[in-house]
Amino acid sequence: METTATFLPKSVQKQCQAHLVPCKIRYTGQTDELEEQFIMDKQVISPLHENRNVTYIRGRKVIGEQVVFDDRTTYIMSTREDDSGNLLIEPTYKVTEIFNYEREGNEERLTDEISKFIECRELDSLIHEG
Amino acid sequence: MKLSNSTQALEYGMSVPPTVAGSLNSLHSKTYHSEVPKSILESTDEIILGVDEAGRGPVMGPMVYGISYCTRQYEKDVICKYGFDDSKKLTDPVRQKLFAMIYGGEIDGVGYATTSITACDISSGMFRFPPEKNYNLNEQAHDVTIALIDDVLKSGVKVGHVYVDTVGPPISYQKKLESIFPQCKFTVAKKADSIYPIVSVASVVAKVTRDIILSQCKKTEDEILGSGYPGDSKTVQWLRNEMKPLMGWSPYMVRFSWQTCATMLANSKSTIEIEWEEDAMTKKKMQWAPEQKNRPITLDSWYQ
Amino acid sequence: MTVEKVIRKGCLLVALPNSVDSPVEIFELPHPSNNESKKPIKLFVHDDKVYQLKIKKFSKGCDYNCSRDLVNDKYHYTSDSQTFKSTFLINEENRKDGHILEDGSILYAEKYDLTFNICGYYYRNNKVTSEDLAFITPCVPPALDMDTNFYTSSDYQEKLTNNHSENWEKIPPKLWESCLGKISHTVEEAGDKYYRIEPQMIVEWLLKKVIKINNNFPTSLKIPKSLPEDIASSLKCIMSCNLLVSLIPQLAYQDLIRHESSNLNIKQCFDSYDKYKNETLQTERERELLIKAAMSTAIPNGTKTVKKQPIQKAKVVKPKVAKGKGRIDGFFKTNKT
Repeated sequence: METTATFLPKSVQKQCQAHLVPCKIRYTGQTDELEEQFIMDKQVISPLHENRNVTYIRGRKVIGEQVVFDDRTTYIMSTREDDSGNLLIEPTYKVTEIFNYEREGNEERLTDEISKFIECRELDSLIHEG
Repeated sequence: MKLSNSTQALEYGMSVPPTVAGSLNSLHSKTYHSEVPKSILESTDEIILGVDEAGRGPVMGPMVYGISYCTRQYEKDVICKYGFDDSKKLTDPVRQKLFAMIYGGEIDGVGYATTSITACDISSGMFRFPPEKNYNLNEQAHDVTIALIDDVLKSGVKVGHVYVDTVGPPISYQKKLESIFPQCKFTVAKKADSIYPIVSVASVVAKVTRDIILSQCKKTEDEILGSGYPGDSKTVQWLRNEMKPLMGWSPYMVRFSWQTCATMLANSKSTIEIEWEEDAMTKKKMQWAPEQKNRPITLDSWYQ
Repeated sequence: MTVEKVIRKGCLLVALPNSVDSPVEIFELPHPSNNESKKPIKLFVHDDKVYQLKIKKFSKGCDYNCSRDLVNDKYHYTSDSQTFKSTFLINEENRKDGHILEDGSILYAEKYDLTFNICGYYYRNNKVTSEDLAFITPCVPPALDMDTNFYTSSDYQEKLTNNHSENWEKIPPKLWESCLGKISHTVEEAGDKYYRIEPQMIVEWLLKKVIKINNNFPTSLKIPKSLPEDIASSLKCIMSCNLLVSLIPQLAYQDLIRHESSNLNIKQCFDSYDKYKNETLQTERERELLIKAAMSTAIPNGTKTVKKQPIQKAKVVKPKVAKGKGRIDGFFKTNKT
């Protein structure tokens, strides 16, 4: 029999921000380094970075812009299998904000991608609703 | 202003140079200009200006550009008498003492300024994406030098002759400066600090500033940073001890763009591997894309 | 990376509708376009609405611009074809409790019109292997649904469950009926409603969507400014139809582009644009011929051909070189035996 995948919503107390950083980190797991690192730079040097997140990863400057899902609630979910092999997907954190980052020098791509994503969602809404 | 006790760099109970304060705990480069000595503004003698830097090679701490200026007569009468022209005598304590005399007022005919280019700005400039658009150390150094000279000129100092210490080719740099500041004469030379006393003054200003800023980065008094050079085993040991698996080191202190750091991160078994987009950029690029003027656009092909 | 792979990674960033507060099962239905290169779509039902689970990856170029992006060095990917994107999770109240996710995707739920899949079922024998093929009229049209019977809504749902996908039974009956009704001819008999899916109804339903897209045309899709206004308008209509190819079978698209309606005459748009293209091409060709002709035309004295002037060859004096024996002299030393 085909196995199922089910979202099991539940109330979660823990909250976090999700930062989509412009590098491939070959690791999934816990880190305590974000306590003193990845702190937002308060001094705006370039006009391209106004009203955006600016921070550093191993010396590289990264610029972030918020990705808004105002009609959605975002979670970090973890999956586990029950005895029959069905996937159960449960929230572990509520995500308060999502930021997408690009490298300094790639700001145009940051803007273009976010506006194209908004456009895509608007188009989907037109096509699928009503 | 009060600094931490770990200012071992500060000897003889000296006060802290005014070039230091703004740069402490700063991610970004900061500039300090002294007041222009009245004697310089009132003088009809030729005004000379020296430029030198401290901390180009180290893997940690700022690279500080220092300038100092005075009249040519003052250089002859005063600067040389204090021993600025004898580099062998310029030990760290002597440098501190001499700089203290300048900012304290005993040597009152010298104007000075510094820009501390932070490790963060050095790293992020050199790592700007894409790699061919990076802001390398030489470009940063040139821009800082030009800005310092420009600021002095704008404050009404009629600088006649500028003496610049350089690491790179002197002739092309001299031509560049002459074209930007046609009103000044330029002499760009290697080891200019040992030839021109006014450059030696600038060197002292830069070095003392850097040494104190770096010493303030220590977490404890007995922390050993070494000289900051990659060849210094104390510095290498510090880097090894402080290295964290994900982020490496503090962006305030360490120049990630130095090969030392890249090698240490790559060779360590405990480091988390991070791949950057430039790793996938090859020199041999695809030269041609198939024509698709008439290829229809679909939802999936356009948005996915 | 597919939705399936992201889910199986074990830890994922998911954006769900605000009101989801009870378990929702994710299930699959065959892709509505019947494009064999596309995976089945992942759906769930909540609050009597169907949602599709989609993936968003940033730092990724679109498929359409893939080659151009490579030439322009605009996008790059890891050696295992992933985006250069990972996720930091930061708990502002306790930053020490940080997490890293190697994956940088977002799974999000978007409202979905299930009618697309009913349309897909109707054209289930019309399969293509790529989107490009959807634009071509098949030489041999596949056999369509020969069943001309009317069915009740529940019987129809059962038919699809048995013949198309068992997951059709997961659709709430009311929702199913509402979607079925959009593309069916209905008759009422003895208080019961009966449905029969009809291609003409499918076209009418698709036309409404094309009109919506046309009237809210995406700004990232550029219409050349050099086009005359009416041709630009036609092109906008054509592009609005083409966008839908990702969701509809080949024959549904072919029917759509032949549709003439007072609301929006799609066929006329295609015909006008094709005519304009051909005329422009013809004008270009004629101009090229004229240019060629002008280049080989007579010089002012009336002669029709240009006389070939004799070319004076410069005398080349070759320096005298000692002749060797077929190798660079002195380079190879002769073995003295």
